[in-house]
Amino acid sequence: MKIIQTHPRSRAGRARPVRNQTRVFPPSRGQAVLAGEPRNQRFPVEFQVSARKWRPQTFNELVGQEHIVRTLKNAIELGRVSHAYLFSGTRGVGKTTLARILAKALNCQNGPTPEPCGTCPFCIEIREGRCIDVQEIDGASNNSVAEVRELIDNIHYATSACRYKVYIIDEIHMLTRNAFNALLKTLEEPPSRVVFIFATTELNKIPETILSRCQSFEFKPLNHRQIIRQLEEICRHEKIQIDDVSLEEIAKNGAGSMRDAQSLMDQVIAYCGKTINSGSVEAVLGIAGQKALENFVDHLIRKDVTALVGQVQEIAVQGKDLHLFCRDLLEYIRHLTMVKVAKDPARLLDSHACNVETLTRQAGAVHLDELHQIFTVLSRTENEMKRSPMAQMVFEMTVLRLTDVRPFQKIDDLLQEIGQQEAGEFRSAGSPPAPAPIPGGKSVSSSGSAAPAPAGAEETLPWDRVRQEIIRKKSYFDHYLTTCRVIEFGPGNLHLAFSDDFTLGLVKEEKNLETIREAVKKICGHNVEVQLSRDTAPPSAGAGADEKKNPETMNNPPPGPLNETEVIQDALDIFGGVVIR
Amino acid sequence: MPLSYILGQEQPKHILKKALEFGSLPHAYLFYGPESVGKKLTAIELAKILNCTEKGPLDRCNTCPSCRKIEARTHPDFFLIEPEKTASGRDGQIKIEQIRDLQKKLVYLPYEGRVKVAVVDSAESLNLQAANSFLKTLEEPPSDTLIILVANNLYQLLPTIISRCQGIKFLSLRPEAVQKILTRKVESGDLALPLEELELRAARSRGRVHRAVEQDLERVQEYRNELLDLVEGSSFENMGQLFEWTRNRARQTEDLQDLLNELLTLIRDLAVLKRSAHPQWIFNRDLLDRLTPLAEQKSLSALLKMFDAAHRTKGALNANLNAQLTLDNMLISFCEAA
Repeated sequence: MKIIQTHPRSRAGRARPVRNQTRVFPPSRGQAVLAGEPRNQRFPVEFQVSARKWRPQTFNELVGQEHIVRTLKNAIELGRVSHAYLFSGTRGVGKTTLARILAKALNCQNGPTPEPCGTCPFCIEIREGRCIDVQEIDGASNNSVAEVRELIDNIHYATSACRYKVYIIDEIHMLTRNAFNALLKTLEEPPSRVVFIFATTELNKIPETILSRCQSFEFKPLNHRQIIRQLEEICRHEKIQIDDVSLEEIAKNGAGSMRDAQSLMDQVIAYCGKTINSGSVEAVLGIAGQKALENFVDHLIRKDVTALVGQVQEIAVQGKDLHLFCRDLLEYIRHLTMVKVAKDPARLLDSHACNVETLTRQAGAVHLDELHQIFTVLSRTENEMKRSPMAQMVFEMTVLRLTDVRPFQKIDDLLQEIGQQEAGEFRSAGSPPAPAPIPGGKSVSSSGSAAPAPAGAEETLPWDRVRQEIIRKKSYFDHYLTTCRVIEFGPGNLHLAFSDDFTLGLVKEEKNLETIREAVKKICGHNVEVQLSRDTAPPSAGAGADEKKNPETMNNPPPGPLNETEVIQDALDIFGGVVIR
Repeated sequence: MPLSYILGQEQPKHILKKALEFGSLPHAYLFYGPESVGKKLTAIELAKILNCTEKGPLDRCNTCPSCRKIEARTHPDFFLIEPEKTASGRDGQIKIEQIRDLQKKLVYLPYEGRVKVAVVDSAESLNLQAANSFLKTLEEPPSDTLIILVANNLYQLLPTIISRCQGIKFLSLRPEAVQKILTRKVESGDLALPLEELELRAARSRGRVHRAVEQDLERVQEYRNELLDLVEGSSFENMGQLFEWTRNRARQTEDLQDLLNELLTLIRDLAVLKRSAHPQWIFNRDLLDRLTPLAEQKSLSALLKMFDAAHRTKGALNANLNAQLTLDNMLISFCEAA
């Protein structure tokens, strides 16, 4: 692999807080300083972005990732340093930084120590990226098997001065398959005093054979508080005035990445100089701010389309980012939902910017279902806007759609309503011809109309109400109960007969029986013994469910539908074959 | 004044000026925003300013050898990376070789200027390998280097790339700015357009210079009435006519994206009219007489469905689907919605 060596150019007279100057490419020898002008007239690119300037140099400076830092420190103290580490996690959470700190900790003059001194020659060399025993390799540029072979060829030579030979391979996920495989043997049993540190943002692209040979550490995204603390620290050192809301906005837009947050802060500083207020933060980040969100939701609740479209236009004209507005709006809706459902919303909100009073007022004016719908529509739109070149129009259409939102009606409620209506109709219209005469006077029709129950029961035993109650709880019962017949339904006893063994078996399960019992208890107010049996009576004998034909037609089947044997016969005629069973 | 050549874009200019003043230029910028609003131009201006021998590094003269060389793209410290055109003439990708080549060149100190400036145009067309191999350089580039990425859609870039740059957002230009740019182009002889047309073009450009330059006003006028007929007349009863239309339209593939953009704008106008009847927010204000009664006819949900269908079709055509079939499909959705 191409070895990354720094070419220590003379930087005399330039006081700069350079802490690390890794070179990714071979140095230019000889040809480098051909510049036509004297050095002191060149443009002073002295400025270094915060993410580089404030890159942590010791374990203690590192923000977050306590679990990893502790593991590594202990490993060093106990002398149990593994020969291969894999650091993975999202951008800007400290992977490369920690790799460099670990390299220093291992090679510091004061022995492998969890507290590298930072002043010995080795620490300085590593910090400036010119230590020949600590090689930082760009895995994405040097990703082929040829480069891995070169590395393996060189790995057997002893270190020049340091204790350990450390290979830091960044962006390791871009190595080709062959390159990964070429590395396997060396990675499993490297020469002594060699340590590999791999860093990647995409753990899923690393082959399992590599994973099993490394100690793998997953870096967590940083939370807002950690980012805010670090930003405050930087502002203090740079003598920059900044308020809490601005810090919070910057941290939020960093989305868990310290480097993103620091880049944003650099941007804000570039825009407003030494004093930062939330207005200019909003201008730089392109966010609309809390006030705009509150107004927008107010308009939305009033369903005032003119104002809504107007506000969208205004946001776009002011140069605010509609994607971010959509994202913030989602968060706002989340806050609203929290306020609506939670007892102690202030604890859940965790933000300086939120105005709980406004939220409570607005939450009172919307239905929870509406909030859910708005959230769903917005989250779909947010994705769509990322892909579309016409983001503004997509968002406007979404806004129009949002004004159409109204609360759901629960399907259960609707069903019950319909059921009640139907039952009412049956009772009024269908009672005279209701049940066919029942043989033995025992069975009760399972259809809509309530049949007179056997002696001893209350006037009408409301089997259909029981049935509805069961279906409301477990909708799959609907099918079972339409195919069954009620033999007996008295106080303390319920006897159901099923036309086939399969359904019988299903209903026989204890939890299903329990459901029936509970329903009866709820409707009739007493416990009941449930008895199940196979319906042996021929269909003609039963009064049957409402779907069933009346006895006459069952005895003399109509010419229309074919019976089973006829169907089979037809099939045999067409396809040929034998009936096995 | 530095950057005065760039019209509009006050905020990006302000940020860059401040950075030049304080000497706090980061090592990597990401200019993003709609296409054709001056991002690349600003990047090149910045390169000139940094390297100008007369007025630099705070302004540029455009006459010194350095400025002229950058203008001609022959300056040894100015690198412009663009996607290579593929054989079929479409925009290709930026390949890893281009990035490796750039990385090698950036290692050297500036040859004659102060700062090496590398501009990567259409950064979203960096392919996966190229983007990844750029990461280390982008995080800690060699000294005296400024890398400027130029991108239309921020969300098509790797998050690891975005996180390493200072982003500057460019906005759509205001019509006045577009008009000024057009006027300047006409006066300098780059563009042959009648001056009186410029205002209308600027107004319809939606803030993008190339739209203002390229669009054919008469045809747009034609389109819009045709499209409104389509929206009005879509029903399962006259499918024959509709399919006739798609067959004719599908042949002129190069216009289709424009056509769909117009269609989307019209449907959007109808929907807005439907809900608020406030002509202030309508794009096609000149067609208001026709739009208003049509908006009365259609239901909002139908319009929303039409918008979705047209939007989907636009994406599908971008993905190279058969034009006639996708358009047929869209019209069937229209009929269903109606």
